[in-house]
Amino acid sequence: MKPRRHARSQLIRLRLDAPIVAMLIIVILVFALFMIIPLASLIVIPIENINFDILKSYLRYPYMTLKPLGESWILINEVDGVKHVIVTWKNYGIILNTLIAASLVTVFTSIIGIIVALIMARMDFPGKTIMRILVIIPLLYTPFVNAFVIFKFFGSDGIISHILQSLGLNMTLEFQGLSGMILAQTMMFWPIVYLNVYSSMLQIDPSLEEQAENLGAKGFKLFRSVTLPLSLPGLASGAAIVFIFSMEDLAAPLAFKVDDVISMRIVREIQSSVSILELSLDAVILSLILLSMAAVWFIAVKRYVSLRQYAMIVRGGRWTPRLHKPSIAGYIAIYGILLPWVIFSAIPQMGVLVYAFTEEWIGVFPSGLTLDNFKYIFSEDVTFKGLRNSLTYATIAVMLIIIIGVSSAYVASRIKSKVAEPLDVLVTIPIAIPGLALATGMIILYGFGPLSDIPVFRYLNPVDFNPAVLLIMAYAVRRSPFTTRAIYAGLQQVSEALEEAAMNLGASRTRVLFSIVVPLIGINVFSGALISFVYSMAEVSTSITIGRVKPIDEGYAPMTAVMYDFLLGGYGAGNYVHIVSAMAALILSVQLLVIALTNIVLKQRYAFIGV
Amino acid sequence: MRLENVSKYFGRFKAVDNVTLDIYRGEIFTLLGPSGCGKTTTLRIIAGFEIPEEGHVFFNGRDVTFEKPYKRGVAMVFQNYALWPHMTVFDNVAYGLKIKKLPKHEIRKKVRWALELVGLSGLEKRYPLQLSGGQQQRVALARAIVVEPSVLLLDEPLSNLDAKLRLKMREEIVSLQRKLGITTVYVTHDQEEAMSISNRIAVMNKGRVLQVGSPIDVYMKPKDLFVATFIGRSTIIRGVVSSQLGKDLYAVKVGSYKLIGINVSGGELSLGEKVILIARPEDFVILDKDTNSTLAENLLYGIVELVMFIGSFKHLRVKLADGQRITVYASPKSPIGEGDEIRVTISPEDLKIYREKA
Repeated sequence: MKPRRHARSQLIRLRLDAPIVAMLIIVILVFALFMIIPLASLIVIPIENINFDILKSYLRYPYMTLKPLGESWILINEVDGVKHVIVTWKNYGIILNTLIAASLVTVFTSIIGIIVALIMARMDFPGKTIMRILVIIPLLYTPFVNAFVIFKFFGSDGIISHILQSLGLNMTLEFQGLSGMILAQTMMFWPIVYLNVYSSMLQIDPSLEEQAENLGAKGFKLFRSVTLPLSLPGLASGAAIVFIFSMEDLAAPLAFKVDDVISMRIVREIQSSVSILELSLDAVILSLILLSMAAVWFIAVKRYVSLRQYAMIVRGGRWTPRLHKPSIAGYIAIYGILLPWVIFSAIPQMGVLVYAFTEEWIGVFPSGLTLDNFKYIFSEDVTFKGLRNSLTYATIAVMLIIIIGVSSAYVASRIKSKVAEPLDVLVTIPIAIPGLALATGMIILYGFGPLSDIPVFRYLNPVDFNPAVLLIMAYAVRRSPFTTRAIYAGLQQVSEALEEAAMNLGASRTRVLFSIVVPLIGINVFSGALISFVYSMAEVSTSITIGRVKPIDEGYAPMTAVMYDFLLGGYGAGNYVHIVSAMAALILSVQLLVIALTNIVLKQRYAFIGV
Repeated sequence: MRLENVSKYFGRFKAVDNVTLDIYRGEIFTLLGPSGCGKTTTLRIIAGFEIPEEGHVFFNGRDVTFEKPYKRGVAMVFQNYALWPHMTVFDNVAYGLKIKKLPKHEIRKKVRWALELVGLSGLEKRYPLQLSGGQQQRVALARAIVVEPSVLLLDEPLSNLDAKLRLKMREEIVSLQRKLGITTVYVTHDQEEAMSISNRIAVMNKGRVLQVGSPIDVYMKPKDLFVATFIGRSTIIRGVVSSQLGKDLYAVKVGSYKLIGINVSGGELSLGEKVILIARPEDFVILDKDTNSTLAENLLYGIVELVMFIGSFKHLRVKLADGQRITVYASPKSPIGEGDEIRVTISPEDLKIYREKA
């Protein structure tokens, strides 16, 4: 007699006990309400209003054109013999410009990132430790103003031009528009690729390379046939983040005065809508395009890499790394090219500090060392409230993030069921979702969409009630992957047998969670939460959209929204860059504090990636 | 305790295949088998960490198949001990008692009793990382017995210890079990370990239970070719049935020899059927050169290919005339060397016949 199989429902019910179900519901509810449904509602307005003619218009100028306007570069010879070289870029229309810029930035950052990673992972040379620290500097996030520093160097009447002339060259070099934006983004984003590839390279078992060498491969052949393919997961994830960050970036287009890219256009459209009830179709369609481009790119690299590597990189030091002494040519490359480049990419952060502590920076040298910019932040109502709001919103968001992170990481790592993998994707995907698309979707859904009439959701309406609630939820969703990943990594160090041993002795799931799991992953929760906090404070996309649906002086806006308003010239008169830099310097110092805390005190080694 | 027609699937892989077992009060019952045979899964089903898709588990006649692990009253010692690194030895051992909400002085008394039993008195305040492997093992044991479970489950408890310590802990576990009289289910892949500690052994392979019996039974009367080869050292000779001599007594043609053995595979063997002869290497007797060969039956000629000195015996690999190789143990003092020609004999009751396809 064949024994009867137990009912499936009974087996599933046994695997999911009450605490697990509760966690699962929390996570799904938060991500459904504040990510999936908002993004899905992007489609609502176009469906109601769209017709073929409108759709077709997106294939024409100003969205796309194959007959680009303008020049790639301009050479002006002045009568006195001075040559002005101006690098610009032809204008292919908003959508193509965005795609071209994102692709080029991805290619440039990938090349630079791979080379630097290879040198740092495989070469041993004096000054390497300093180099390793320098490389982290470009990753320190100073919203908006880092790009303004790059403009200060490469824009019109830039410091580079002054340097060229003082070297006796009778010329100036200036980057304008799209080319400046590409340069700035390359400088800002290359360490993302570097860190991802570097960590991939560190995880390569040295014997794999030694085996190849043993069979006769060396130099470039070894790199191309073994090292690079094995580093591909890191490269793919790094490149994916850079591509999405470039499309979303507002700092570089703002600094180089580029209006014809998607990100800039969405913000301007939201801002110029008379009320959010009349959100322009343009903003919605561009958000959809942004989202789908991110999705396509994301799916393309997904096969190379599991998402978890996006959010966090734990430096794997399992092997003794293979380190070579560089050849003479190698030394020249390291000190002649690598070192200057690394110092060069640290310029923006240094420049932000210069701006923050000075009164004026015209020409080459700044003048008027001062603390007034900081005094201004704390004395003026609008800036002080911005700072206070950001701290408050980020703190509340982090509390939510801890709940989301513990719940999702625990369920994903402990429940052996088909739910685990989709859940894992769900909680890490916010990294790949353009914040501007999310913001637009949230404004539609809760501002005037299908949910805005339901009484419970009234508190989420950014106009009628208070944008803070929606902003906090946006931060919580967008910045949760950092914490979730940290906790997930922690849970993988905690053998499941430790929990089973407790259950075996009579502890319920809840008791196991609080007496065994939480104490063992406490450090991971804390360090992940710190990272989420920093990047919630520095969040830009939803802050400058949702955070500005009410006028800034009503006091709801977070700090980054205030910074954006200043840079648009709304406040702060002539020294606005200096005041915004002072605000950025505050964010910078919080980041340094967090890095020091996690790395030195908590001994956690996470790379910082996030915008 | 009883497992009845229990099956467990992992995806399409059947990890435990229709297992039925009775485990008696107070005995040490061992699940023995190679890795991946389903023995640990069976143990986890008893503990409640895995729910079988088919079949039932009974404790004292009560069906506990769907009962949560924390309600079963069984205590498990994990392969890697699973000591909580953030708790002291005392807190680790006291954990189960605290859950039972015992008064504090009671907890202290019982923890002290358990630690004394495993010989760890005085180490209460240490953390697991400050202990040696053997000490960690004892803490795990103390943590399990302190709650006075109805059943003690041990999952390869000795596999992480070095060889010497393993022997010592083996003895300690047995004497502890005798002292407490606690029903114990023991999982191991080490057949020597299983034989030395168990009252009864269940030999498992590919999710199935092949034989249940006392250590002597499974060693002397393996019911199955797998059991015969897995338990103890065996040597295999292939042949063809040539004639029936008694009820279970058959003559088997191996190359130019005729060997007499006992059919243990059940049923009648037909003439000309391919069979496998299994012998223990220590059961072969090496004949002196001058012994009259015609007097001995079950005689095999061969050339010694390899000699390995083990200590208590010499391990010989002997190539028979038809090319088959057998293993024979010789006295450590034996002068036999590689390349020597030897004759061995074996008594028919030590030569067991199995059907080639079981």
